[in-house]
Amino acid sequence: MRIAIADDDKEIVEFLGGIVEGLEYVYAGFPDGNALSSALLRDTFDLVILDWNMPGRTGMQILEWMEGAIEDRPPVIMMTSRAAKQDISDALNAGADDYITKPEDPGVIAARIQAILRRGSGSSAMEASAQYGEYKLDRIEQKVHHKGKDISLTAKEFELTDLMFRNRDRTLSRRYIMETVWRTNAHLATRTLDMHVSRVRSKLSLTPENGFRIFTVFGYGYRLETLGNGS
Amino acid sequence: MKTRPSRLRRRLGIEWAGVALAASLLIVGLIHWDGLADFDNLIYDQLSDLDRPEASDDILIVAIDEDSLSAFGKWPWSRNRHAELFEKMASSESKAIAFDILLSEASDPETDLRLAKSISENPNLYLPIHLVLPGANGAEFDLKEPVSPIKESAQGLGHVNLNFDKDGMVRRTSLCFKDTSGKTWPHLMELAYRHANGNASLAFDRQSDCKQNLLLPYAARGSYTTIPYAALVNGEMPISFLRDKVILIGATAQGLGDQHPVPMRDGGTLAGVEIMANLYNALLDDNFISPLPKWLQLVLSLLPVWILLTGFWRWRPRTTIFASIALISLVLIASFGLLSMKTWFAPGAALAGLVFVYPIWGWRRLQSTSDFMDEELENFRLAKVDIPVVVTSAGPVDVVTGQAEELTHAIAHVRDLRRFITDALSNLPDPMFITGIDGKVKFVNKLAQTGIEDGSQDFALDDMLNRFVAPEDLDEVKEYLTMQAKPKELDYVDFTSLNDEVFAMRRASVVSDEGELRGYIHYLADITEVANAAQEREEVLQLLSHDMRAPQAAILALLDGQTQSETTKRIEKHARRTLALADNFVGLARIKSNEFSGEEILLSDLVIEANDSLWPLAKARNIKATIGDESEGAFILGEPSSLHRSFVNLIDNAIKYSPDSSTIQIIMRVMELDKEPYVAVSIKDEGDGISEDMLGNLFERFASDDSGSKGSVKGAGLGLNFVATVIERHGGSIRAENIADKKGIKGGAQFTVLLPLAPEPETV
Repeated sequence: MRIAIADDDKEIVEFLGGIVEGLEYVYAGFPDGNALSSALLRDTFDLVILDWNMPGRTGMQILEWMEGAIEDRPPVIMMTSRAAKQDISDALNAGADDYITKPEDPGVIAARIQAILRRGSGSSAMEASAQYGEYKLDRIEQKVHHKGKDISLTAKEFELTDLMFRNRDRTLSRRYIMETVWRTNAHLATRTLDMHVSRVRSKLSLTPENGFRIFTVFGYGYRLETLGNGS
Repeated sequence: MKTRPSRLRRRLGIEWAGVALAASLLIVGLIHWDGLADFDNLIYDQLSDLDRPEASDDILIVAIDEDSLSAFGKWPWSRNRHAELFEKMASSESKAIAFDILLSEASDPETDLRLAKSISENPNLYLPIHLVLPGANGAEFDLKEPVSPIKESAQGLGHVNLNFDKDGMVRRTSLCFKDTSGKTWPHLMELAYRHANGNASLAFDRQSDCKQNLLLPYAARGSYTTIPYAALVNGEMPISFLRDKVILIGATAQGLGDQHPVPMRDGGTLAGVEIMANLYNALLDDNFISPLPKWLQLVLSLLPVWILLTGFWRWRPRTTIFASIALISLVLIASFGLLSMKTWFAPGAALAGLVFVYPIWGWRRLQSTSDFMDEELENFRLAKVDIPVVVTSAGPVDVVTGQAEELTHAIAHVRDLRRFITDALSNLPDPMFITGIDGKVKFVNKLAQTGIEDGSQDFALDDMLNRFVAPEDLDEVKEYLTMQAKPKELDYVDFTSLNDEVFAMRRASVVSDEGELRGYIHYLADITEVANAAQEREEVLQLLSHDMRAPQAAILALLDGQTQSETTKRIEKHARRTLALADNFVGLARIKSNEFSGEEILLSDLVIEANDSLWPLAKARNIKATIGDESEGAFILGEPSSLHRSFVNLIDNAIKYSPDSSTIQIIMRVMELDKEPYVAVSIKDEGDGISEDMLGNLFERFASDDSGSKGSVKGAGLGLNFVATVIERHGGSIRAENIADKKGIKGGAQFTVLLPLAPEPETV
């Protein structure tokens, strides 16, 4: 796997490069947007990690340029020091596959990179059961087994749980979740999804102590993050 | 404004109807009771004087005049004298003879016999009968016929009565007379005419009954050939002179009493025989004048008056006076014109109507107008428009003049007021414009860049906006201007002008006394500098947000590769503090400059996630957070980023001040406050609590516990101030207190946040 990292901060490039190498991938660092875009035209990458604020062309400008200029463009993770909710949802809605707010824990960054690449390699085969950390999902019985206990869920709750675990460390838009779980793009009451997520969180005790947390990306969607010993 | 003229109009309408009715009744009354007969006769006399008929040569008067009296001695003469004349006339071949001398008493029989015989020698001789009014013993009249045998000797008897008008004048005549026995007596002249012409006169044939009076046209005095009686008897005049003539014999001498006043300009009298000559002349020429029937008289009299009445509505007062004079002349001309066509239209009633209606209407109109002006001036005063007191140096004036002067002053005052307002508007420091209800711009001030001059205008609003507002803001401005009722937060609109100035425009309605919408005032404030400052501030915040965070992120990235040591830990802590400070600072600045816009948030999950994000920190010091969620899935309306940051701050604070291996209790529950549902979130640590002097200003900016009990953990100061600002912005409240130890649970500082619940969504 080849990963392109563009950041005007040399420390950040090296920091991210260290994480990528820890995952046994290869990386190429670029100090600004122009260097990255010329590389993208003549080289192939499996993932691009883009800093939002760079001299020359900003991350957003490159993202927009990529949409038109690169055929079959690689997935993009937007890195940003901006923490405002509007900035995050703007980036995601502009086509970024994920975003990471600096500073972030190396383990989290690694998990997010892997989540994006996992999607690319397509592990879509549905086994009868799947193990995520201490959670075991029984897709036939629609039950979750955790620390010696069976947790019973409604059909929608199980589907939501399954969807989030399969896409752990990926930011899922509300719309995507709605269409996948409820199979509708009609505007369900916003509260419905919030309540389901809340119930899954509480029934499964998805807390950092258990290695997971659900993170709400306001104005966009949800992400199930694996922490520490999450696989 | 609209109601007032119609009030005056109504009043004038009523007055007009009154005047019209009075004038019409006057005319009807005058005609019905013939109230202006004297006046009409006077006009008739004057008019008829202008057009007199020619006397016919066929008529010959044989006059018993002064010469005849002096020749034959005093009257009455012996009837032998008349017999002598008639014997002579027997051979005269005259057409007809009318003898207008009364022969009702008998004289000596021999003489009477001679006379009768001489009369019968003239087969064309007629004698008069006389009516004596009133008759003896209460009879209406007595009929006096000639005595026998004279009566029988005549060819016929005709009446010779004269009709006297009230003024004693003889103007009218009737061609026959019907006595009580029903017998009709034609006039003596009618009989003579029949004899001379062999048929009844046209006028006689035309009339329906004997009561009909005809107006007699008089030829000029002395127009008829007259010869003295004596001259004929003495042979001074040859008898042949009478040939083919109608002979009228009667008294003309003054002393004989047969003289009657006639409508002649000289005012004199005319002998009965000459009146009869005129009558015969009229029969001959068929030129009697017949009066108009009453109904036609009425119509013709009303017509000019109604023309004038109608004109009052259309013509100016000056025109009406000329019109009145013209109509009066017209009536007189019409009267004369009809007269020359042998029809009499009495102009008196019409003239009286015209003369009556003009001043009466003038008076009523002036009165109404005066009353109206009075009322209007009173209204003006009631409207608290200050009218200066009128001081006339010219001394006393009549009431209407006074009112007019006052009105002039009031108008001048209003003009001044208008000028004053215009001046005031023109001197406003900021641009403004006024539109009318027709949507047009009526007044403009200081909008030179639109190319419209300051002052009163009549300009299409859209046209003006196109010359002024930048195209990208045009729709927004137009939308604002078309809004009827404005929500409070939209009581102004910002836009950029074509010159890159930024304006805030406010609109206010102009409403009349009656509550009617008259237009709008638009006031523009130049907020270019403010807008630029806001823009700059936003740019600074963007810069700060990024440029302060980026180095800290780089430091943390750099540290990650290093082996952990006390120094790297402390560097990391400081870097994280700087990050938090930047976040709080930028967050604080941003929320203060932005409008609140909340979305539905499941509060319990937001708090849980805030706690989750601090888990590494808590875990490092073996601090446990327990969350008791009794909030029943409560949703609030909030801004997620700032709320999330607030709870992170609060929990971070709790961790900071907690001893290692202690517990932080987070409890969420729904409660009611003043009947409004709230969610309460309390966060309690097991630390030493907050010092008393800190409790009061805990949420103020840069307040931080520097009392030094725990030197290693220092608040950034901004953290709690940020929380308080955010919570307040959400319509909630925050409280800090110290909880004492109880039931084996260690006490500590407790923060409680109250946030109002979001309204329930409408169920679909």
